Amino acid sequence: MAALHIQRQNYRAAGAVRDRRVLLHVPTTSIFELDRVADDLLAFVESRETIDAAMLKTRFDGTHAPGAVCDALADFVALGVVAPQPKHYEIAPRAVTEAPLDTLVLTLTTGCNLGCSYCYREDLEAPKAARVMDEETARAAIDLLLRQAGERERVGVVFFGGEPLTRFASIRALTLYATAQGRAAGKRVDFSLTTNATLLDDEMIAFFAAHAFGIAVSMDGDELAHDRRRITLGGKGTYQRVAANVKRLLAARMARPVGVRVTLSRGNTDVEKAYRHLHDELGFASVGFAPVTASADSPLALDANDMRRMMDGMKALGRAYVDDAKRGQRHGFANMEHMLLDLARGTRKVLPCGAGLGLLAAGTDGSLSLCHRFTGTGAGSFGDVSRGIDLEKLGAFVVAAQEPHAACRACPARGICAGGCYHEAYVRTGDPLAPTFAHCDFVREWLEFGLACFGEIAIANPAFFAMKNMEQRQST
Amino acid sequence: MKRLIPLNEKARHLAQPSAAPAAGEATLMSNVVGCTTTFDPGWELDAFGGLASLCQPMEADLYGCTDPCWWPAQLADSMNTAPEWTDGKNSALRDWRELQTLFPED
Repeated sequence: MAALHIQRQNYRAAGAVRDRRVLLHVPTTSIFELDRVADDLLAFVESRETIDAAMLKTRFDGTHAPGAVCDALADFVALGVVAPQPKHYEIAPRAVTEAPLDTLVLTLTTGCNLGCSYCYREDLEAPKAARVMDEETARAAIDLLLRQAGERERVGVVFFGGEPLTRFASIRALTLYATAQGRAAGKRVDFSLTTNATLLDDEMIAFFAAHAFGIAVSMDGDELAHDRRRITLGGKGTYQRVAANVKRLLAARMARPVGVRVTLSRGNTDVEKAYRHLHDELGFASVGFAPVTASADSPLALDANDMRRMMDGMKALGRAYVDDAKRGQRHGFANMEHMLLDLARGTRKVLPCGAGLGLLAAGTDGSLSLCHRFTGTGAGSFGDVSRGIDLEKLGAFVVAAQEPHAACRACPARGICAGGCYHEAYVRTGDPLAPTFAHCDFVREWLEFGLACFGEIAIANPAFFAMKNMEQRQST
Repeated sequence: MKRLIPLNEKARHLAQPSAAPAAGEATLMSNVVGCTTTFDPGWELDAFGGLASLCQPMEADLYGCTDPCWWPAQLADSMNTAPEWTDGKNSALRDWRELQTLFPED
């Protein structure tokens, strides 16, 4: 037997279910439970970096049967966890020859009635000074979506802003237009929007319920946490109004569960407290958290201590998720749900998200951006709703995005992270394709935590990850 | 995979592929499953346009279509209503004329 070397870039082992670790095979996102022999063998290889037959014999004679050790070693060789030479599994970038769309985000307005101090939008204005998407442009955008949808039977329209509810009349007209055009094209159109909920009234709620809108509300937690940054243009807190509107929204019979998205910023990192308030007290079906997008020197950005607190809070909430999942119950912690769905499916990403690949966003002037976060920035456009998608430019971007950064090639989180958010990178470095290095350690820590939790649930309650249960949870 | 236990779909796929042979093995059928495997010539003609050189007498069909693969419109149902239809008339070559027409009972 030739000497074999550990290939750390190809696996991650985590957790301790029944005192044994769970192994993530990074090139494929396959997940295995290690048996006693395999776990002992892996630990031994990890401690020595390089092994040969004599070392194995010395270590395992009298502990495990030689045949069992050989079987485990064969499994690890097959997966490239150990190899005689460095072993890398690269996925060659695929050319982009067409750009079928399934989701289009419409920036109805650059205006917002709030002045949240951490907002990432570069082009945000007060409603009176706002640029708005005129009806002709919006209809052209919907036509583009249906034209580009190809064989897809369902497409999605996302109303965005600014604050989209400052343009409710427009939302109503476009919803009816898109539904009719979709029907004519034999496609179903789903609608969703993200709102600060300050303007939400009963008429809107009834309309959204009737058209099965998916609604995400931006809130930051209880009154104290929320009013710290989510303020009116005049500087007043908005919690009271938002909470009152949200209670009416959640009391209505909405077709799809309503989620809330929390932005964590300096001084607001208590994930568990925010979850308790938003899920348990207000009644949101799911709660997702994201750290604020800001350059590192911004007074709003999370520093190392904040990030630590955030991660600890997310793990505590993740533990609660695991406890519920083991009993077959649904928990509303969205970040955990998404990661576990990726792990259960074995998602192997070569791109961090669907932006530019199924999803585009139209700015108020109809120019197309990678996603809603890029409209109104100087990052350049990928076409226009009336002239169509600039396939050459978009294709070049998507091909370049598939090429992993040198630092990502050996990262065990690359199949789940794939380089991270383009916009986050753009804000920090000016280059959407630069990895967000500040987050790397946390992404790896979060993945390792998720892997251990996945193993724990999959062993205790395998039905939780049965395909039909996952689909059911995801459709909600 | 012998010592690694798959936990997600991907892992199950990765652990499985060698289990299924690349192509099915070709073996002679020793039992009768379905009509195409019984080698009854059916109401066909031989290479000369006649019935003389069929590999079995065409009357074998009377037996073939009642027993191994019943052809309900034409022949007796030996599984249910007429299990004794061919009893004592077992040679297609010699006995086929003995097979009687059945009439439904009121």
